[in-house]
Amino acid sequence: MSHNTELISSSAEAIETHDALLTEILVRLPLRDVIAFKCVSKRLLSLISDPYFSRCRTTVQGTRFSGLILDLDFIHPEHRELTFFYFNKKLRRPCRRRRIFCPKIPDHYSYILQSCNGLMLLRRFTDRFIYNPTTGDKKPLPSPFPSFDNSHFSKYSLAFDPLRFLGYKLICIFRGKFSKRDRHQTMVYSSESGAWNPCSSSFSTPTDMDFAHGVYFKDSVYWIGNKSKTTLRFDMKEERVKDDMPPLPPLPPGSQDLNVGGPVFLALSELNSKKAYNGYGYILAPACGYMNLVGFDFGFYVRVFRLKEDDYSSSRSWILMHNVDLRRTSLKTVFNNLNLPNTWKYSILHLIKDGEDDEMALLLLIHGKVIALRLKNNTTYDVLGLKIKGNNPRYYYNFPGVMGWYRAFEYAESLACL
Amino acid sequence: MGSPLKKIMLCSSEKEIFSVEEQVMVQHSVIINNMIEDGSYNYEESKIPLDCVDSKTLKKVIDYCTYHTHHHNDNQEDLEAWDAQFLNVDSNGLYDLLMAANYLEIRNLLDLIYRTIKNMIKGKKIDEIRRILNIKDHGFTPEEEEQNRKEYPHFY
Repeated sequence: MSHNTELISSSAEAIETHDALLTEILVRLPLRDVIAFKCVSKRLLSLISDPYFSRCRTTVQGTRFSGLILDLDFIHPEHRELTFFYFNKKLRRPCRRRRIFCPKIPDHYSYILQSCNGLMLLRRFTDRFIYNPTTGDKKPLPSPFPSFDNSHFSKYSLAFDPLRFLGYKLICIFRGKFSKRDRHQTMVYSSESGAWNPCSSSFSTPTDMDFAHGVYFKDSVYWIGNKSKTTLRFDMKEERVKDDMPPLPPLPPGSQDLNVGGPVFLALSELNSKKAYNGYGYILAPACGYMNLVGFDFGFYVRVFRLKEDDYSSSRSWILMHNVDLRRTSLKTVFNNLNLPNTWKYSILHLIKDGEDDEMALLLLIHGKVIALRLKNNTTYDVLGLKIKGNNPRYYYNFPGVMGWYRAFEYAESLACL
Repeated sequence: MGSPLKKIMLCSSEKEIFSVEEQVMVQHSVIINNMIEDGSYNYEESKIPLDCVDSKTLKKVIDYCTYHTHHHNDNQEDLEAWDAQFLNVDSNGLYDLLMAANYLEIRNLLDLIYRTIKNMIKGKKIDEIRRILNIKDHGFTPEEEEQNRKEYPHFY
C-alpha cells in the first residue's frame, strides 16, 4: 500500500482533477447531460471525447437498442422525412416537443445503408460515410483501393461492438472486374489502426450472395444467398470468411425461391409482376441476444427461426420458433378493415425484443401504421401512425413483403468517436 | 475472511486511531482485504495509516461498512433509506467520502456515491454544474464559450 502523505485540502478540487473518478460519475448520466458536460470545461470535453469514455459508458449502462429509424420515402429525397420512435413506450413521440433527443441524418441526400450498435454507414450519391447519429460526427469511408483504381466490385459491412472490441471495423468483400464472378477477396479496416489489411486467400461463393446487406452479430458478419440457401460469415477473430453455417431451412411446400436483394430487387417494374409475390425469402434478424432468421412469402405466412449453437460439437442449426399465419392473429381485423382486394399490402419492418423475457415481436407496417405482433401469443399493439403526406399517399402501399425491412434501422445511443 | 472477533487499527490523518472488527473492513475494502491476505498486517503492532482520510470521514466510512456488514440481510428498501440518511451530508463531506472510498476501494460505497453525485448534477444548467464541481477555470476561449451558448442555449 502506498502512503499518500499529502493532505487533501479540498476534495472537490481533487475530484475535478481526478479523471477516473469523474469518468465513473459521468458515464452514469443520461445522454442529454453528457452533451451538456461537453460545454462545462475543456477538460471534461476531452474526457468525454475519449474512446475510453464511451466504452466505459457502454459497460455501465449497456448498449440499448433504443429505437428505430424508418426511412420509407426514399424515392423523393426533397420531401424526405425520417420517422423515429423509441422502443420504450414512455419515450415515444413526439421527441421534439419533449426535448428528448431525436437522431437525424446529415441531409436529405444521405441514405442509411447499415446500422450497427450506434454507428451507421451512409451513402450520399457515390460517397460513403461512417456516421454517429448521436453525436452527429461524420467521416468519409476510407477507400481500400488507390483512388485511380475503380476496377473493383466491392461491398462494405460495418461492425461496431464496444463490449467486444475497440473502435469499429469495416469488412470489404470485393472482386476484380475481370475476375470470375464467384471469386471474392476480403479486406478489413480497423479504426484503431486506421489501415486496410487484406485477409488470407480468396474464396468462392454462389453468385446470389447478398454482400450489400451484411449483418453483424457477436464477432461475425453474416451474409445470405436466398437462392443457393447459403450463409457465409466473416469471423472477426480469425479475420477470414467461413462457410460453417447450416443451409437456410427448406421452403414450405409450394413456394419458389426468391432472391431478396434489398430495395433494388423491388424495382417499380417488378412490383406488379406476379413472380414477385409467389416467392419465398429469408432475412437475418438478430434480436434478444440470438441470431434469428425471418422467412416470409409474399402472402400471409411468416416463420421465425433461431440459430442454435452447440458449444461442444460447434454445430449450428436453425430451429423453428414461430410459424405465423398473419390472418390468424389479431391482425385479422386490421386486414378486414382495409377493404382492399390486395390485402398483402403490408411490410415487415423489424424483429424486436418484447417484454422482459426473450419474447419477440414483429413490427409491421400496415396502411400507414406501425403495428407490433407479439409472437408468443399473436396479439398486437399499435406503435405509431405515420404522418400522411397529402399529395403522395402511394408510399404506404408500395411496400409488400419485407421492403420496409431495408428501410428500418435500429438506433442505439453511442458516444463513440469516428 | 478474517475471524469476527479480531480487531484491526486504522489511523486517520489526524493520527486518531480507530479500532474496527477485521471482518467489517475485509468484507468491504479491497485494499484492507489484500493487506490481511498477504500477511502485511501485524495484529500486535500494526495500524493502517490512512493519511488522506480525516477522522470525521473515516468514522463515517467505518459506520457504513459496519452497518452493511451487520444488516446485509435487511430488505432493500430499509437499506436504501439508511444509505440516503447516511449520505445526507454537505457536498464537501460527500467528496471527502468519495476520495476515502476510492482510496480504500470500497466498491459498493463508491457506487452509491457515484449515483448520488450523478443525481446532484443531472439535468442541471452549466453554471450550476461548474459550481457543484467547483470548476473555476473552464478553459474555453470567449469565442468557444459563445459558440457553445449559441448551439446549446437550453443548457445555460
